[in-house]
Amino acid sequence: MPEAVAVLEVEDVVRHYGPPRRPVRAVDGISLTIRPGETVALVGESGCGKSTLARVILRLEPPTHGRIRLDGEDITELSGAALRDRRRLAQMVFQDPYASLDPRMTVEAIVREPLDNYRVGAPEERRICVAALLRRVGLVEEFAERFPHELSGGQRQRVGIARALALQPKIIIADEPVSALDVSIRAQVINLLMDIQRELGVAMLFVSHDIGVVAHLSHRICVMYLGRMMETGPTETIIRRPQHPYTRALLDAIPVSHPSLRRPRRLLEGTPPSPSNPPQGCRFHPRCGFAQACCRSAMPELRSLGGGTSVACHLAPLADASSTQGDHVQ
Amino acid sequence: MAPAPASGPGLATTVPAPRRVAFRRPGAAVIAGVAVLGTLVVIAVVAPLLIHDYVSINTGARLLPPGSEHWFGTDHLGRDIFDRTMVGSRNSLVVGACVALATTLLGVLFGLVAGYFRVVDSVLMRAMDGMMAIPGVLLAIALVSLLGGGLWTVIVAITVPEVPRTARLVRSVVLTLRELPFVTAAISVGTSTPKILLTHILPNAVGALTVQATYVCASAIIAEAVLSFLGVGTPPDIPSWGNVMAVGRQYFQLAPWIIGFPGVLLSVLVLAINTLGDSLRDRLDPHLARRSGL
Repeated sequence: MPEAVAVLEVEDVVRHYGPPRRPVRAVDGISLTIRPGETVALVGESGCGKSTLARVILRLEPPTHGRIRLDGEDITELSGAALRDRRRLAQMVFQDPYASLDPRMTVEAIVREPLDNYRVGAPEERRICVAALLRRVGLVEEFAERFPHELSGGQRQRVGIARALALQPKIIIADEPVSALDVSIRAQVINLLMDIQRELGVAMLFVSHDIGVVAHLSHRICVMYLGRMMETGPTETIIRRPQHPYTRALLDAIPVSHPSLRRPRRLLEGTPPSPSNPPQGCRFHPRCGFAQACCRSAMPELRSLGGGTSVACHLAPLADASSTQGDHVQ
Repeated sequence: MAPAPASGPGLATTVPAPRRVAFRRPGAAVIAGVAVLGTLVVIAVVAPLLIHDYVSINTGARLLPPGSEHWFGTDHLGRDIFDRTMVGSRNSLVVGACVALATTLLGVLFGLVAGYFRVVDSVLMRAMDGMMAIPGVLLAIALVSLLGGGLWTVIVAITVPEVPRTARLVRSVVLTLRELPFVTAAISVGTSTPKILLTHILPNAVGALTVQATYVCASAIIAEAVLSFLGVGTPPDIPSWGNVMAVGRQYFQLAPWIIGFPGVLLSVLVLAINTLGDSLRDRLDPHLARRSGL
């Protein structure tokens, strides 16, 4: 990939909620770079701060600390018209296709709204543009006059994708775009996103709790836990040779399609600790099977292992890292 | 890892059946409500054109019971109750409609602003709370004595105490709606705040607002009657159901028809408006509409 200006640069972003004395550390120092045309997956359990990070990136909420650069320009301090102007470069696909479409608007009005906002083309052209967008996401033109409640979940999510594409953004932020859909529909929507990504060369940040899903579509994976980045690297490497125990646990949690494929699994127990009172040392140590004394006292920094992989674990590289875990991800 | 074949057009081409295939037939209650309201509106428009003499005093025909000469009987000054009730229906309906309209407009304005802008919220809503602490009728009496009697004074006096309640309702609806993903989506596609309020928030609050407006309309008609009853409503030369009933109160044991006829009409009208408000809400709500196959 040729070196170009990164579409998105997130630099040590922190987002705390509540009283500054004892805040909820939803996002606690995340850095992330996405290059043009690249798909990066952000993976982690519910409540690890991945959706918050997505919202902060779009400046739907302000970061407590840190910098966000969109297509080379710092948007951290922007507001009002300047922010609105930059926002068209990054568009979002939402998790819940039922709640993210205005129930009182037709599909055409929904997809047209961004075009009207930025006065893209002449008003008559926008209608044609909407029709083209609908075709692009696999909906026939007749859908334009329908209301969201007349559509299925998958069709609604296609409308949401068409809306996100309307402004020809440089990056699409997909916040768990398939987790609210039927399993049978998921593959269709994921394939649609992949096609669009390839065809238009748009970059994508794909937020998901399911590492199995993102293995198919991302170039790189970032694993988050309790607001911190645990591991990041090329998808292939992360899947085949996960270094962080948490990443391995996530991979172990992927169900296999046949009992004969079952392998020894190390599943996580319990729930993540409260982000308002994270554990001392490594945030993962209370649930980690490998935890040592140093894990309880010192917080591991993200350090590079070469090959584009970085891990925040004292014990990495793990001795048995080249396990067979990834073979089950097809 | 190989991706499945391109998901081009064809995968999701099952177009839903044309919407509104079956128009839901209105129920008996709705038909009755429309009939009652329609009849009264026609009366309110036509009666003042046909009946001119509803104020002259005829001492020879005091407190006559209902009969062929005076269908609804007469009052203590020999005025025909039928004439006064029919003409009065206009004033009652005008009060109800104007108060509902004015309250809704002001309530929406305050509610939208308070619900969406946190800074304004605390100031505006404390003022509204303060107004709500004063009983509505008391406030209306104070306003009428301040502004002097008359139809428009009564409308203002009833509107003012009703506004906080509508504003509160709108604010609570806005607070719920603003957190929904479709509002976030609108922000992220660059929709300006005023446009979000007008095209996303307000249309989704219409259901709740309609019901509230019909409720306000009904209670304004009653409030007008109460004010007249207390002697601070419309003056006697502007008959309304309220001031006809106010007279009837004094002669209730001698001539119950004076208070009876406008009273029954008032109840029927309020019931009709409330019924219509409920069914309107059901129809305006897309979720309910879907369930009932609208």
